[in-house]
Amino acid sequence: MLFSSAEFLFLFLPLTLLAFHLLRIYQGGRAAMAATVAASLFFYGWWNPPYLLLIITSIGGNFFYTRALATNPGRWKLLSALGFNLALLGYFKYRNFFLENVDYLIGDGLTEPGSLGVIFIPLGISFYTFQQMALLLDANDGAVKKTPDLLEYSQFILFFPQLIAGPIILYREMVDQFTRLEANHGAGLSLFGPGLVVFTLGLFKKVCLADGIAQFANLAFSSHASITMLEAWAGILAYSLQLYFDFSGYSDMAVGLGLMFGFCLPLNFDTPFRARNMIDFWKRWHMTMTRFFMMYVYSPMALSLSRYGLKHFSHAGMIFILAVACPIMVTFLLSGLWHGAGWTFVIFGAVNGLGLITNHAWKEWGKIRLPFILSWALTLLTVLVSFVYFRAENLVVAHNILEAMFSPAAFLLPNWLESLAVLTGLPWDSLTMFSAGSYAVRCFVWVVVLGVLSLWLPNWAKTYNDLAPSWRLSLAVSFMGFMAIGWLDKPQTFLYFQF
Amino acid sequence: MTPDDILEKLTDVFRDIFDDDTLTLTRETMAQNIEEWDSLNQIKLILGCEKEFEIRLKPRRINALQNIGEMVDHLSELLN
Repeated sequence: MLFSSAEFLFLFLPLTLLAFHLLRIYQGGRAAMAATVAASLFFYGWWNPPYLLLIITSIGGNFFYTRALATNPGRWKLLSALGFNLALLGYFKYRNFFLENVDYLIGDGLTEPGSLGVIFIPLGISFYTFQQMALLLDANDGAVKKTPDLLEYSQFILFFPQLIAGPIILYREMVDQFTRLEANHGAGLSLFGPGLVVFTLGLFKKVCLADGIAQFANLAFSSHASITMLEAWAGILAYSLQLYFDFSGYSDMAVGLGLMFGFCLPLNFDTPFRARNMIDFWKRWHMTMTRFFMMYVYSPMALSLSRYGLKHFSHAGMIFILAVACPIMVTFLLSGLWHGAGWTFVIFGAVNGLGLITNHAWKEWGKIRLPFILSWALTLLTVLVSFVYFRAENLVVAHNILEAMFSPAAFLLPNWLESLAVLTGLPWDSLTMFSAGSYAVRCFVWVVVLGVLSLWLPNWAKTYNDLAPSWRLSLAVSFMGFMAIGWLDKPQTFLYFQF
Repeated sequence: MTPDDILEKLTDVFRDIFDDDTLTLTRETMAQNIEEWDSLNQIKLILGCEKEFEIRLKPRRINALQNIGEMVDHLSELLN
C-alpha cells in the first residue's frame, strides 16, 4: 500500500487517523498507540504477509536485547544483539551477493549469477534494522533515559509513516513524545493542519514531479549502449531530479503523516542541490541516514584512528589519511552497500567518499577559496557521477553512460538540427532518443522546470512550525492536491522501497 | 571546576578549532548555529576537549548531546 495509492489515501489513512484520535480522546494515549501499531502491522502485511513473521521476530528479539542491555550493559550481550540483526539483514539482503562474489574469486563456476534463486528483500529491512541497532548501542551506553515497554517499542519501530523507508528515527527523539501522549499531553490535533500541508507537498512531488520525469531517465538508462553525450546528460539530470523528488516527496509525506498523528519526525532533506560543497551536500541529502552513519560508524572509528595517528605520527599527511580519509571512505563504502548488495552501490559510496575527502583536504591545504558557482558545479558533478552508479543495473551500464557523458566522440547533434550540423560538419544522424524534436523539447522543459523547483520549492517539512494559514498557502496546497489526485491512476513504487 | 569555568575553557577550544576569535558560546548554542560544524570538526572538538580537560570522552555519548549546555553538564559530571 503506497502513500500515493487510492486505498491508502481514501481508506487506510482516514480510518487509522479517526481510530487514533478517537481512542486518544476517549481511551487515552496508550489505546491510541495500540491502534496505530495494529494498523501499521496491517499496512506492512499488505505487501507480503509472510514477512510479518520476520519483522515480528526482529522486534521481539531486539526488544528483549534492548531491555537486557538497558538494565545490565555488557560487551558480549551487545555483540550477540548486533550479530542477531546483522545475521537477519545479511541473509535476506546480502546472501546472494556474497556467494556470487566468493564463487567469482574461487572460480569453480558452480554458481551462475542469478542461479541461487531470488530472495525477495523484505520491505524496509535496512531501515528497521538500523533503527533497532542504534537503540541497542544507546541502551548499552546507558544513554536511554526511559526503557521502552513493548507497546512503546513497537510504536517506535512499526509506526507506518516511517516504517518502510525512514526517516531513520532515534529513540531519544521519540521517547518524550510517547510519554506526553501517554499522559494525555500530546500534540493532539494541533499539528494536523501543518501535517496536511507537508503531506500534500510530498504527494505532489512524488506523483507529479518524480513520476513525471521518470520516463526520460528510464529511456536513457535502457538505451545505454547507443547513447550520445546530450542524451546521457539529459538522462542523468532527469534521474537525479527523479530521485530527489521521489525520496524527498516520500520523506515529506512521512513527516506530514507523523504530524497528523501529533508526532514530530526528523527532517530528511534540506534542499540538497543548493549545497556549495560535498560536506554541505551530505548535511542536506538523506540526513537521517547520514546522521546514523556519522554517529555509530564514523565517529567511533575516526576518534580511535585520530588518537592512534596523533600518538604515532607527526606528518600531517599521514594523520589526515588515518583520521580523515580512512574513516570517511569506510563509512561511505558501508553506506553504499547499505543501499543494496551490488558493486554499483559500493562505487556510489566510493565516489561520494572521494568527493568528501577531497573537500576536507582542500579545506586543510587549499590555498584559495573557490568561487561559489565553481564549487557548486563541482559538487553537483560529483553527485551526478555517483548517481549514475546508483541508478545503473550493473557496471557495464554505468560505464556506458559515463563514457557517453565524458567522451567527445559521443557528442552528436539530433537530426532536427541538421542544417546546423551540416554547416559545422558535425555528425547528426545517429541520435535516437532526441531524433524527435518534440521529445527533446519535453525532456528539456522537464529538466529545467524541475531543476528550478528543486532549488526554490519551499521546504515545509522543515518550517511547518512557521506555517500560517493564508490564501496563497491554501491555493498552493489545493492546486498541488488537485494535480496529485488527478495523476494517481498510475501509482509507481518509491525508489527507496528497494532498500 | 564550575560550569562557568568549563564554558570559558570550552569557548577557547571552539575558537581554536573553528579559527574564529569572535566565536561565543552559550548553553543554547547548537551544532546548527555554527556553519563550519561538520563531522570532522566534531572529532577535533572531542580531541581538543580531551586535551584541555585531561579526560577521555566517548564519541556516542557526545553524539547524544543536544547543545552546549548538555556538553557543559556532561563535562562537569566527568570532572567533579
